[in-house]
Amino acid sequence: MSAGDALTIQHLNLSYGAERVVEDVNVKLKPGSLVGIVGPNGAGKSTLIKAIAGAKEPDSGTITICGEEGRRGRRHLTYVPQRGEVDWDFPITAEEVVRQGRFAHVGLLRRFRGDDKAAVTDALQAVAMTALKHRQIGELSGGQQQRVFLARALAQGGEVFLMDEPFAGVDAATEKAIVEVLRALRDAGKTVVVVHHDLVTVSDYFDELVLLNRTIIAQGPTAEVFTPDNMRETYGGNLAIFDRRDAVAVVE
Amino acid sequence: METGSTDIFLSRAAEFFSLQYDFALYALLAAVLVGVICGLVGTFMVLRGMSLVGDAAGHATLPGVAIAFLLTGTKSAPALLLGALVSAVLGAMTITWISRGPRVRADAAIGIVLSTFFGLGIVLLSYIQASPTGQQAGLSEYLFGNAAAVTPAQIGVVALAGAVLVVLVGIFYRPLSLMVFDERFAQSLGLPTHWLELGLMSALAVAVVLSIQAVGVILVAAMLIIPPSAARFLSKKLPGVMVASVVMGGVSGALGAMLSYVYEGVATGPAMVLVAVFFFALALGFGPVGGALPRALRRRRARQRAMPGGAR
Repeated sequence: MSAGDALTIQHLNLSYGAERVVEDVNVKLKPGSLVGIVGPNGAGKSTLIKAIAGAKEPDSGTITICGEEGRRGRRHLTYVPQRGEVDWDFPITAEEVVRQGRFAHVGLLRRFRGDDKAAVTDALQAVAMTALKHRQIGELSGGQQQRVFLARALAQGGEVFLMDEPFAGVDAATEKAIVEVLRALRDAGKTVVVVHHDLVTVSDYFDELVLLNRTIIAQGPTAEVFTPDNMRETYGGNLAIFDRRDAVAVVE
Repeated sequence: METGSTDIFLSRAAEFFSLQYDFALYALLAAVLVGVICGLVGTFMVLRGMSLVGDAAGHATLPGVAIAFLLTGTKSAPALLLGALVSAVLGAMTITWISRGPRVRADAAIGIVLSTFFGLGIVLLSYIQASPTGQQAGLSEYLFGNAAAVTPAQIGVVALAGAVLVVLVGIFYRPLSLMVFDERFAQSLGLPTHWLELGLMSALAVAVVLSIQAVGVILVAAMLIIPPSAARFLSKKLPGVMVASVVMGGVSGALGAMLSYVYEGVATGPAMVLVAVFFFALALGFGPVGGALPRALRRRRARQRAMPGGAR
């Protein structure tokens, strides 16, 4: 492992009860990359994400973030959960959600200082949600809610951004806005890891891919990894694959 | 209501709030404290979708109270409260334990534990009631609550515990609110969510135990659930909901204690609950956040904007 890696996973095994769901996963990601994790339902994507985010204890193996393991490593990690995991009727405004991104910095009792407030303002601005910041989150559309989540991550900062299906159930405009923010993060030298479902957009969005089905099927630059053979191996028979000129289009 | 009975009601109410009798003062203090504590702890329970755990914990205190009385033979408050606490914690642990597998869901587990513990409590209570020493014990006060029977020492304990709870919620406000809203994200920040959860459950058990003398084991859950539920219609921010819930809990306590004083024989617990429900109905109808009337008005305004000039 070179010191410069942003996220390194070695020999990771995860299971629920007696059932092994993720087996011997090895991943190495460099700073400044935008990476898609792709695989069929039940491939262990969510479980892997949970383990990286510290919500699931591995059976064995190590997860190293910016050279540090465990809780110390996760200080460099910024996690954006799936939209469905949150209570959207909760009494909280969009701005308050974004302020949660600063909780790790301000601790229990310290008041928000100028830099904390600036981070919140900038984050809301970056996802074009400033005008709606006083809305209760339940009053926002799915796409707007996802932008608020992304803004919370931006306000938090960090080196590795982990996003669980950020494009699920959002409108086209939001999807475009999110992709732009993710690219800006990558260009600023951050590592952005995204669990993604839509195979049509995979080659547009991601520089690198990790193909997962219980274990890693393939990983590397999208152009090399996103091949009919690899996709067939990842998805089994449930996939219609069309070779179209030089590009590969895949439909689940 | 006739003028005469209104006058009597008002003079009795004024008599209660003038606090010329010590027991009226104690009843008022006890009921208000209970309303405030339950309003505070209940906010987190309701938002976390755990309202019924409070109900189970309340009912589960009864066998503890009865067993403590049987063991000590006296109605000494510390022993009874300790018994209630142990029994409530046992109840909560049993819920967690039997709902661990896939066959028994949480709601079923709550129903099982609630009725089992309460049934056991009632059997023990009947046994005590039938014994010569038990008849004067007045343990049935624990069923529906009697704020007037609360002693100054007990009020001191409740006030102290309430102050500690308020300080703890203040200190841990950020992690607690984060865990209730978005547990996964809280974990990713490295927050010890299991400990926070345990702390919340302990706060619930303490709130229930402190409340049963004034509200009774059957209705204590109402004071945990109704004021926070009403408060959600009043503010779209958590601090606002907490404050509204605490205020409504406290006022329900005060008015409930007053009603129980004016109408002799009416237990404090049911009176408090009815006042709280009255607030809840108001909030449901007129609350600015999702109340029926504001929502209807907003819809009408939106329609009028949609077709200017045609709004007749």
